[in-house]
Amino acid sequence: MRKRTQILSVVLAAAMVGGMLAGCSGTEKDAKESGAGGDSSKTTLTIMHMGTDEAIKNGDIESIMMDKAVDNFKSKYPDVELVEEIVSQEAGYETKLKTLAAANELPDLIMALPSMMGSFYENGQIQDLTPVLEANQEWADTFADGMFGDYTFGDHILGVPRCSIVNHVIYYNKDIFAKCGMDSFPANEQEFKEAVKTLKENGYIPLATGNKGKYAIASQVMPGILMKFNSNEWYEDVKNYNGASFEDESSVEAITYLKELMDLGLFNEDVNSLDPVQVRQMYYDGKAAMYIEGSWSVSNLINEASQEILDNTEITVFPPVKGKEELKGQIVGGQGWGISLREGLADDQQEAAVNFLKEMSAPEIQTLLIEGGSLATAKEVDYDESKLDPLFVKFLDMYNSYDKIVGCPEVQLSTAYMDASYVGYQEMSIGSLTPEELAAKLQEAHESAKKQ
Amino acid sequence: MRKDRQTQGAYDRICPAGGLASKGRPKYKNPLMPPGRRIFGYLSIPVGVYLFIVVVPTLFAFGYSFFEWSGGPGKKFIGLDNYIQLLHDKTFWLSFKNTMLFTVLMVAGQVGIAFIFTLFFTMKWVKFVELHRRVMYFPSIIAAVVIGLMWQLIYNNDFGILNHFLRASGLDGWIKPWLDDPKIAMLSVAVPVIWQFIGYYLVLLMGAVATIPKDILEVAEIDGATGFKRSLYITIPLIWDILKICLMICFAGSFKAFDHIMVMTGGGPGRATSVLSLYNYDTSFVQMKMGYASAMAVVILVVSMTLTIGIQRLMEGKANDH
Repeated sequence: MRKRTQILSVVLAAAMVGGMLAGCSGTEKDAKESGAGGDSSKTTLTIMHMGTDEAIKNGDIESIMMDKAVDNFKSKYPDVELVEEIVSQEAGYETKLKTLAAANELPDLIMALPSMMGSFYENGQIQDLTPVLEANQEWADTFADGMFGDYTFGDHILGVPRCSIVNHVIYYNKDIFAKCGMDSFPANEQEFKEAVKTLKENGYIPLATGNKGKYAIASQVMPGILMKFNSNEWYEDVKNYNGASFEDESSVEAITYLKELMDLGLFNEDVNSLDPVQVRQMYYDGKAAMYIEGSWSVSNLINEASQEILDNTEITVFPPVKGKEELKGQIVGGQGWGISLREGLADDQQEAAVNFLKEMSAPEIQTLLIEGGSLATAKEVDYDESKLDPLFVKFLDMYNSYDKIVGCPEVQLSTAYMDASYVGYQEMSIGSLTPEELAAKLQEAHESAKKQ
Repeated sequence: MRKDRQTQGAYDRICPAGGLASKGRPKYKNPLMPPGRRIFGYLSIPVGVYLFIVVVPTLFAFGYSFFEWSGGPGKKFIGLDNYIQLLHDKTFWLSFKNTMLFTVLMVAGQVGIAFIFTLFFTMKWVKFVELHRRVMYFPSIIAAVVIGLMWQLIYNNDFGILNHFLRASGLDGWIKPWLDDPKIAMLSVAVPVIWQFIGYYLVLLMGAVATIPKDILEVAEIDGATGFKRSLYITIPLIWDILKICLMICFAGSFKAFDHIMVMTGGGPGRATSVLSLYNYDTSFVQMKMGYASAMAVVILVVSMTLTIGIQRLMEGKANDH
């Protein structure tokens, strides 16, 4: 009896400890098991990205593109085991990534935002890809100019782009504008202000925005305005601490202009409690005259809006500022989420990882991007024009009419700056910060990253 | 004394062998009971788990709090700088203020309303008590995220049921963007949480009321204590211990409020609904200031423990007065 009890307790305790250990090492085990029968000669590479099945089903082109790149890589390099971990943005991709970084357990191929890359690199967690690009000059030359802009930190290039984006696109309903007596989109900032007033008076939401996540105003609306008041040179000087500052007159002027627009009722009243998906509905229902989101939303609109709305939709960005016409060719864009390589990869892993990057920017993927409604990264892309949606053609026309792509501070500067900006613009929208105070806060946060 | 002897008798009848060796009885060894050292070994397993998932991380956080650290291998020792910075961090103090406000609202709302309902349900004329209790308990089994999303829809400016109801009742002046107005946002996020947990405290308090012996209530009634008087002189003193526990649970729970607010406003607009745990999360996982966030976590731990112990002492003092 006693012996049996003893055996039982030992078995139970072993089961419990075993369970705990299995729980701790779950991911690693999965990775090994999924290898082809434990073939130790295989190179294993891990990647974490956001291309969930659901996003692919919903036609999200960036997810489709990642999925395709992974498939192509797997069939081309069967001797490499590519282990994917897919986490959607809603499920907390960023949090997971930052947690892994804090624990120093980043995957081999890391999909990250430029604002994270700086600190990952300083911590010795990701590689400087400059030598990789130099060693593979032919491949590096396929990229269009400025495609590494978001990932360039001093002399280092820390990431490779997946696609190219425009930080903000304004969709406007020309029918609503016509009903309010406006035949065309406002030509300068003063006219834009008048248009906001007129639209508001006619009972429309001038510009529908979903700022619950705090990024919409800070990283989509504001950069669009800021870069109509300031030159790219000014921004580069701010970024590199070369004497320019967010507290400079022209910067404060831009923030003040946004504040004036807010006071005129530019946004929907519940701007800070809705997210972009909820807000798009206002535009689809014809309640909002304009809607703003990054260029990735073109495919969403194509899939979601009614034909009537699509027919009435035109695409633009914020109008130029009177007296600063020389800046009118600037458009805020970049590459956004890119792929970085973990520092300390073994030689075979390094080779496989570079091959993956090449596969990700292969001509087939570039065609897929354009035809799916996104901007590509290559200089030259073959695509079938008849496959493009009319709305995307409008977007391409608009995009091609600008000649200078300017980076977005919220994407390129530090995470401390990003947070200050996200919260700051929301605070200004509810009246708890003045434009001057906000400018000072932004500069302070930007400076704090320099000290680190 | 008589009662004690009776209890002992009952105990002997149920366990004639006597589970524990006591003075004056022949020592009886339970065959299922392993020797003392091994008991200690078994019991150390949960203690070990607790150490591993609670105490060790806390000590680590304490260690990290002296470093400037953004995650990863690079750390720089900066002594008490993080703590000094924290003292001057306006957002931290704003979040602290919001947390205290939220906690007061929760204690008054959840335990307060549950308590009133409990007294109400002891009245003889209230029908379907069981049904009421179950219906009121129901929200507390729903996940916080679901509650958050549900109330976000209720508060929605255009198609939310709250504004719809106000419009239908002709109270157009009351219509507000409930979660967007910084003056009322904190109250707006508090209401769903209060609503969710009233039932939880109601069940605890009604359980306590059920343990009051019927004869005491009957005697009180014969003596003329009915209604309000009965609540004040009989019910409250007899459930005081459970009420105290409810207050402590509610206080501790509200101090670490996170999920509902995260879903409804994410701490916004601006920092209007930022509470300590949310700001701590923001500092660590958005701004990636792991060292600073660790210092903040240590301060939050110390503050909440001090407050909890303080309140406990205060209530014990009050209980002794009774």
